[in-house]
Amino acid sequence: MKKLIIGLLVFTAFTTIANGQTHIFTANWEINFPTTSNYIKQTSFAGGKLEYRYVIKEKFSVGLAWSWASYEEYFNRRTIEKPDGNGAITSDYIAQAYQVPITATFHYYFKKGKLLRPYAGVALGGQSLQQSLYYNVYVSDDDNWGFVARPEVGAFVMFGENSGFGANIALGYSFATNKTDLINSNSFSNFGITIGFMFTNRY
Amino acid sequence: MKKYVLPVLASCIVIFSQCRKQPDYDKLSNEFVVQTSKASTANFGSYKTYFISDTIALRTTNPNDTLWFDADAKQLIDAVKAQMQARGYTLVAKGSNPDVGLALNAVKDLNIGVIYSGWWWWGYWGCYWYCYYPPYYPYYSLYSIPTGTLILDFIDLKNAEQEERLTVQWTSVMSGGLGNTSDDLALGIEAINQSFDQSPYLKTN
Repeated sequence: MKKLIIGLLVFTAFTTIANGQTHIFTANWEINFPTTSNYIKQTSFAGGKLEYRYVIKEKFSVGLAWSWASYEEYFNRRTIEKPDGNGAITSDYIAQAYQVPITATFHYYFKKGKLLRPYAGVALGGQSLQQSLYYNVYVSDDDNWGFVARPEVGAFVMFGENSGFGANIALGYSFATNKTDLINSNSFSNFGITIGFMFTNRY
Repeated sequence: MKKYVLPVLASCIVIFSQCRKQPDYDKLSNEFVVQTSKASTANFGSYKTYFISDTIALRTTNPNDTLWFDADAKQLIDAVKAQMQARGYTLVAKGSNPDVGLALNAVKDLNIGVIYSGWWWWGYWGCYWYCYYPPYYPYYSLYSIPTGTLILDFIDLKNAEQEERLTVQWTSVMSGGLGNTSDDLALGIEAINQSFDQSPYLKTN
């Protein structure tokens, strides 16, 4: 799946750059701060995002984004009661979540500076969330899909006035409706910092 | 422009290497996982006396291994007795019509995988209390039973004839590798104690 998406992005890049339109590609590292209260709270440094944007009339773009983030946190031995009060389990455990949102993106670009181009946007789409609890020799899994919305603000910082390459920095908040019985949760949310590279055929 | 290609490619490689990772299993302790379940209608205060055998029912790959009765087994049984006494239950002889039968099972050298409550009786139920009444679990739980698991069942004998079944009012499944390490007996005893600690309702009036 990963190879297919990368292949599609590369193919799209080579086949569309020459047609006179403005295209933007970004490849990013993501740091994510989970905010779902009853689950993992540890910051994830294992994440990334690939994105394509098609610019419309200089100030707007539409595109596609594919991200992933891996969260993990160790919890000391504790007793967890079943919601109905008729059972309990005691163990230490490792909670893990693997988040893969695939979204359509919409961006607005503010006034262009010499090297800086700030933007604001929103990403809407579906999110796969694979959650696992590892305890002793066991693992409990729950994989599910939910709707995800991610507003973000950011900026392209070009490496030169006539350069098609630059840095991409953004801050976003992601809210997804992934529901899981594993931790009795109806959503998964996180703040994210995006740091990466962008390149465009026109600037 | 070419000077940016390498950093971009390097970044992509770093990013792709960060996909879902295996967890760091070394962080996990070897303490037993203790899972307890009870019948929602159980009235544990209505029972006064109990009986537990001085042997542990053993499930291994060897069908001739059916009982575990050495000093280690005695320590585990004594731990159960101490907890039951602390909760106000009185140990009586098997022939004295105990209200409750406690059954302690151990699974060794056998990885069973995912099973449901009561699996451990199938093929082994041998008229220990009542020949005609099979064990009945009024709750449904799934367990993964690796080698080294202890299972403690709290069986209603008081109402067995009237209900024509042996209702298992409470179960503790303790999994952690009994028989694998030198300190696992202590961990097994700790698991028995934890079973009672997380079941405060388990006491007589």
